[in-house]
Amino acid sequence: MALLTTLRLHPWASTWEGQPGASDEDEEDERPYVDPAVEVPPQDWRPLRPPAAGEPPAFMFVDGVRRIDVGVVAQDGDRPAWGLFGSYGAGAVVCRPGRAQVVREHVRRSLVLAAVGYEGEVNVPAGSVVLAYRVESVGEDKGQNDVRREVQQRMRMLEAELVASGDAPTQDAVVVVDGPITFLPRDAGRRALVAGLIKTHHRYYLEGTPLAPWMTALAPGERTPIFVVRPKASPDDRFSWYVRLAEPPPFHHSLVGIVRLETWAQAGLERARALADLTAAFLPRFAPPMAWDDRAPNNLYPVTALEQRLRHGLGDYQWVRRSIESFIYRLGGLS
Amino acid sequence: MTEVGRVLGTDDARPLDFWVAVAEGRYLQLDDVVYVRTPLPDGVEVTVYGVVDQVRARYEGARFDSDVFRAAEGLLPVGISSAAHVSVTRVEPEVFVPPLPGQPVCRAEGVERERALYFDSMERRFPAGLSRDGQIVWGNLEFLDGTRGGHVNIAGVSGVATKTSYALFLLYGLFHHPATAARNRHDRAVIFNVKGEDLLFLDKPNARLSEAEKARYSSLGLPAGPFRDVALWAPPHRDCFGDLVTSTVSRQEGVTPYAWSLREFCQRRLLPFLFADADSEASQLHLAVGAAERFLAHQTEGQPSSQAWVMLGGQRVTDFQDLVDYLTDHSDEVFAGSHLSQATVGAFVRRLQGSVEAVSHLVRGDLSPDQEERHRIDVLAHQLNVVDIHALHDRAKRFVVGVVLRQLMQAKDKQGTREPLLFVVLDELNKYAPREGWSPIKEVVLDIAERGRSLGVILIGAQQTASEVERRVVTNASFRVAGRLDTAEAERSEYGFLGTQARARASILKPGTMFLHQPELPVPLLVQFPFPAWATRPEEVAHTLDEEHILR
Repeated sequence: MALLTTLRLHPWASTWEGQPGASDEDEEDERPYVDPAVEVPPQDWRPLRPPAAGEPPAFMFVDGVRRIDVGVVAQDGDRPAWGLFGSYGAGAVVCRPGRAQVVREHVRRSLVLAAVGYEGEVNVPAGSVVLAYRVESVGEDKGQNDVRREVQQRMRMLEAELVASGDAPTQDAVVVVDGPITFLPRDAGRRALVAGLIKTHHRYYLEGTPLAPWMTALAPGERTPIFVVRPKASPDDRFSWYVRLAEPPPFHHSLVGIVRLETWAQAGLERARALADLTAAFLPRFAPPMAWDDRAPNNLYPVTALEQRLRHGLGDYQWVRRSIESFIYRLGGLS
Repeated sequence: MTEVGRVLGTDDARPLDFWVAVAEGRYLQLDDVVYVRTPLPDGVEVTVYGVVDQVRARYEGARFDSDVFRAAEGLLPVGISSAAHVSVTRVEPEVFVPPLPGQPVCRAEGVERERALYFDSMERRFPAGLSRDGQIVWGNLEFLDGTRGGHVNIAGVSGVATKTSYALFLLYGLFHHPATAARNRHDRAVIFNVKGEDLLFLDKPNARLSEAEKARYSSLGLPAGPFRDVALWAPPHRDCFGDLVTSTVSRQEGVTPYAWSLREFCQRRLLPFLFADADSEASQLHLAVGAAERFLAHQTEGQPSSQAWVMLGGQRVTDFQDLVDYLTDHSDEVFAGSHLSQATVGAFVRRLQGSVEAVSHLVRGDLSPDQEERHRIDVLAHQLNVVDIHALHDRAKRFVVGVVLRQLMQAKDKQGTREPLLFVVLDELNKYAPREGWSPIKEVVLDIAERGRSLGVILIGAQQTASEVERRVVTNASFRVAGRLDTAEAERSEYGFLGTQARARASILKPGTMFLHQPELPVPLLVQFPFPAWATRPEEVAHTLDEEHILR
């Protein structure tokens, strides 16, 4: 691994160092096809309130976190190759009435390089443990953004793995995955009710349609009718709907407190409707008040707690970073 | 070896205290004894022993107090962390490094517990009580019997602190435990009965002793029974002629009335103990007392021991009233040359007259030589001597306590050897050895506290408030014990040995539970002691079959 001995730090190459950042952006299409006439004809659109439901079902929330531990550049011949040491994790919380519990927690680490043909593991000693970074070569023509996106994608895949793996208690639980369902295996929706929850509004899917006002007219516990979204990059149609989690305070925009959910269209409208009703009826329970968290109410209690726990599992940022620095120092024969 | 958790690293671990994260499915409670081994780079392994003095539990992952409701509704996942704080008692070998975070912490049992609490290094030991998990807490006898230290001081609120009961339990252990009984067979103890006639049944088994309590005795290695060799002393009845009859109500049988002869009162200079209420040292009164005391001793010098009465100035004085009258009438003679003001003499006479009612039945001229011998308190004949003073006038109480203490000190002085030991149980130290002022009793008590160790006189002193007792009496005690304490009192510096945690707990201690501090252990230990196996009031007396037959 001659390339590795040329690794040098490039501290400014990375963003979102240890900080969460908005990034659902790169997973959503510029202008997807939207068809509102699925559940209710457009002229009959109005906020829907699901019939009063009984005992809340179990919900399983799946989420991930990722971090760039440190950005690096390797010298590949006369070409500088971008890279980074990144850590990411994914986990799941199952919330039943009376008990919320973190049931899965996985942490992985990658050394991503804009190069070809490098693989294996780099072991970085950090105090009493050794941090194993899997080497991922993403291609010579890749730039800094691509390298960064790789970590994001690996996190999404880890989440997907978690949903798909049979061992997760998804049998009777409504699964709510953070972000779009792009990375989830298509058949995941067949075994259980699975929805992706998109909490930021980078795209306003109903923009320019006569349906837009209905969206902000939602009261907590209500949802819009289901509409179809067809992303350009994906072969699958998705059913999507908006739910209001909480009423925003007067100084917030009326979109605050509204989230979008989506599931696979192929699972059928009836299943999607059941899922939409359950999310509209019960997700508001999980929405924290403004004072609880910066991202309240859209970042739900279990999700916030899970992220906190996963981020904790990544290890102390400064400590990991310093360990990598001294590793590189020794690796390069600089000591 | 039961692993209960690991040294946690989110709070500092120090050589003298550290926190333990308690493992899931395990628990640590206050007073548990634990140890942790921590390796040094040179291969040496240091074992740190300690006692749990604080435990806490909290949510992990919750950020607001109200998150508890969210967790209860199943909206917020939280973890529970429970942790225990350990005060270090011992480090072996003595390398004072902190135990490293992550090291497993084990509950100390058997040999490890003995080590943690220094029981292994106690060559001679006595049972000082039971820990809450029912194991023996030992005291080092060398710090009690005068070898390396002596005396016990017990503090606590009256009624709930069970100070006297604990003192009796200590004596019972010393006299009956196989580890100490043989050696201490000739030891003696004297205890003053100050409340009701509670202590007049120590030689009778307690009928209310349950099987569970009996089991506690046997886990202490003690028989569950009454004291074996007891002498009971009580003041004589006021109106008796010829033979003295005890004044006690609930029991007469086996109780010996005590009294002193007028001659002994004069010759052995007992007068000062009638003036034993703490007095300002500036007062002239003690000069008057001294003068009168010398006068009486001088006048009665050489008078034969066959007579209980005295000749004063050619006049035969046969009772206490006469003695007082004589001193009053001859005050010019008594105080000649002592340059005392008339006011001082007047005060002396008034006080002396005032004491007639209190002690006239205790200091008598009508005893035959045989009676005098029989009714003189002799604390060396039996193992446990109970001197009843509960019904006496306050002045008489002080007189009896002062005289008994002084006479036993004199007896031990004469004996010249430390052993056999003589234990003196004295409650209400704040009365007999108050912090302020001077009195002849305080002098005797101080003498015991300071010199008793080498003479083999061991003071088991007790008081409600150690802050009101002469400092030297308290600080000379090697064993410090605290039962239930008043919250304000517990804050005083006299209870520094308790430490912060035990101080706070001292205000909620139940009867039968004490904190015990002994010289080798840096932390106080919580000890419990069983319900008395001896009767503490008439209703508790267990009758033998014969007696029951008669009672029917």
